[in-house]
Amino acid sequence: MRNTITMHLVLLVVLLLSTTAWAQQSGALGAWQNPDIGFVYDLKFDMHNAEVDENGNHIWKTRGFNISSAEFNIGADLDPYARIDFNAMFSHEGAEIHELYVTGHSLPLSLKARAGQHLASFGRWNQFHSHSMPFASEPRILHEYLGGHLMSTGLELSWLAPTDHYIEVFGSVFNGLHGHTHDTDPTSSSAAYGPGNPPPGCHFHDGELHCPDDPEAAHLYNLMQDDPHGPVQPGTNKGISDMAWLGRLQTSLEMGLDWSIDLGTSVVYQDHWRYSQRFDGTTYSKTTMGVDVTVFWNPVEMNLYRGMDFGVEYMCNRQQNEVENDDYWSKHTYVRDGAFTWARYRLNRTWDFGTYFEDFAPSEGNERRQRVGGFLTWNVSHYQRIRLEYVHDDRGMHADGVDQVILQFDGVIGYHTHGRQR
Amino acid sequence: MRNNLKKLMLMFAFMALANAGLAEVKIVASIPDLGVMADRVGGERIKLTVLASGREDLHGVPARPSFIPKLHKADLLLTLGLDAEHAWLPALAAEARNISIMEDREGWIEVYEGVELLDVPEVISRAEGEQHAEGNPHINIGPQNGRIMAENIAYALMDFDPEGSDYYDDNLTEYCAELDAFAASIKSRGSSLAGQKVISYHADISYLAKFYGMEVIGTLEPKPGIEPTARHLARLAKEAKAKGVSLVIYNQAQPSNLPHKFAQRIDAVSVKIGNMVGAISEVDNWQKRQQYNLDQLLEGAGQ
Repeated sequence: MRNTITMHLVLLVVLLLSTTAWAQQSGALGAWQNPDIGFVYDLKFDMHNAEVDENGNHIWKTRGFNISSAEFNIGADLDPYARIDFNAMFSHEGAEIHELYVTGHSLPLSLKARAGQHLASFGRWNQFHSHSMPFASEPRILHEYLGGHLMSTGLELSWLAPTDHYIEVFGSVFNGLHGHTHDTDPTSSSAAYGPGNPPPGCHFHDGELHCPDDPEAAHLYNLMQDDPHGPVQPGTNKGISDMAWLGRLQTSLEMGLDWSIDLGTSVVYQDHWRYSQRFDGTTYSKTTMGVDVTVFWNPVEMNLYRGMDFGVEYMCNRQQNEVENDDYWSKHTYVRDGAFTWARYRLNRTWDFGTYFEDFAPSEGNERRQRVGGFLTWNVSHYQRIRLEYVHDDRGMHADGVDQVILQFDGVIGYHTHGRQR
Repeated sequence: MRNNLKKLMLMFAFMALANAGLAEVKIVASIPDLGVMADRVGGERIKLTVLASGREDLHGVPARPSFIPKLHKADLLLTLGLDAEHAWLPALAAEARNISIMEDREGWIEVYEGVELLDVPEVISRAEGEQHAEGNPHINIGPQNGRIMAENIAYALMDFDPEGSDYYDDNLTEYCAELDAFAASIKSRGSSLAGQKVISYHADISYLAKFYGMEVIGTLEPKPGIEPTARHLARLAKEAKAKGVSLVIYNQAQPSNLPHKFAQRIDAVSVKIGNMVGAISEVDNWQKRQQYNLDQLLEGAGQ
């Protein structure tokens, strides 16, 4: 199935590129009809010192040199009222539709709509593509509480308050709480695979493991992961309670021309997050809320050459599950939280560096974990950069800490924008 | 007493009627250069908001969320065009819930129409750095372009607010006369700059150099938007010495260390100009900014 999707996507890309080239050469369509086309690659090399088993083999298999992702994006105005954007992601595991959505700019009452699949407007870092983050590894709170980058497949409405001060409110309804990640992480439970630690030849999508060569193993794994204590599964027929509902409020404050603060708070809720496989009609809910604060220093005369941003993103996750207690089953509510904080300084147009620290309650075990990292980025040009990152995960008191080094190489050709992200 | 009251009431009524007939066009200008021109041409018929302070690099104005409500209310958005503001303005305009001022829509006004464009690339390739496919976008640094920019602003206002056409036209005529006289005056005063060989930090002084007849030998950036490298600077220094470069020109939004050191290296003088109105506090209109730049150039050239 995935191979078929891959083939179709590759064919689509070839067709689009050939059509564009023909249009440019023949003049039959005119350049004004060409859509915006871009391509981004995100190459990574990572290695770590995770523990070995009794045979001396690393339990966690590093990916080493790998194509973390390669994105092909295309977008254009559909008509005077809407724009369409498409983003296909290619990796060693195949290809997939990463984002495909229509944006309606011309709604009344200061509204804007997005319909389709895109990164959900939750928190700060969830809205960044991995390659556009200032660090190589994704914040673990995304994995822990949203299953990776939270994807919204549904409808989003956002409203700009008619005030002189910037306030924007988002509301969306979508298929369910599903995350997406291609990130690697050697610090998951060493005996088990996790969203940041997929088995070789597999990857996680929408919170589920996909193994093209061994679908049965992936199915068993997903059943286990949905509930380690008892089988529950996402619903398939979408009633209103099966939908995820998201709200976000964001604003910004300015202190003179050099300093500003972006503030946001988000919440996402799914009533029927999981269905019991034992008891008909028994469902389990999930709620994740977050607060994000980012401080920017953009010295007005040297903004191209100097800058700093730092901030914190906090998430709290409340999810229900089915738990066996001696001879009966009960609904249990897990509450976990975590925070990711970072600071980045732009030394000049070429170099920036920074650090991050993360404290979170992981899905496995009761002990909180911490990650700390540092990164140094060489922006070769506006279109190419090389990043070296070091991460240490202490893994709590009962396991050895893990050190990881990541070398990241990103580049872009053609048209590629992340809107007004800063 | 009663007569006075009647007169006062009549006066208020007259003023209210006059104001009722006065359209107020909400103008947002990307940079202060366009703001001061819109102010002169639009006068009391417009309500003006300017986004950049003038101290920023043209390509690197911080994309503040506070710009979004301003753009939301705009009838017209004045831009230089030629992708000068591409790094910050289109994305903000797209978020403003105001489709008429989104890039390439009817309210997105580019003021370069009619300017004799320089540095139009023969080959479009990222290997040539951050190119501007239609030509050098720093038209606001050249004194010769002021009149054309003002005319384009006036035409946009006339299109949007035809009832005020005569008013805009009168203001434009008066303003253009000032600009023409001023351009002739500074050209005459800067005539000694003709033939001076100069180097700039970024490829942003082409229009200024053309106006005064200066010859641009190269830029500290090896390609537009690409950071200077030791290898490039060594090659440039050799060429600069051979050709007798006298001035190394940079603006307030570019690092000053490198131009200073490079100027010393080639026995030239570094000169700081203002890239926009508002670049320094006392430069608050088009003429003052051009005057300031000329003063700086003449001082650097020892004249």
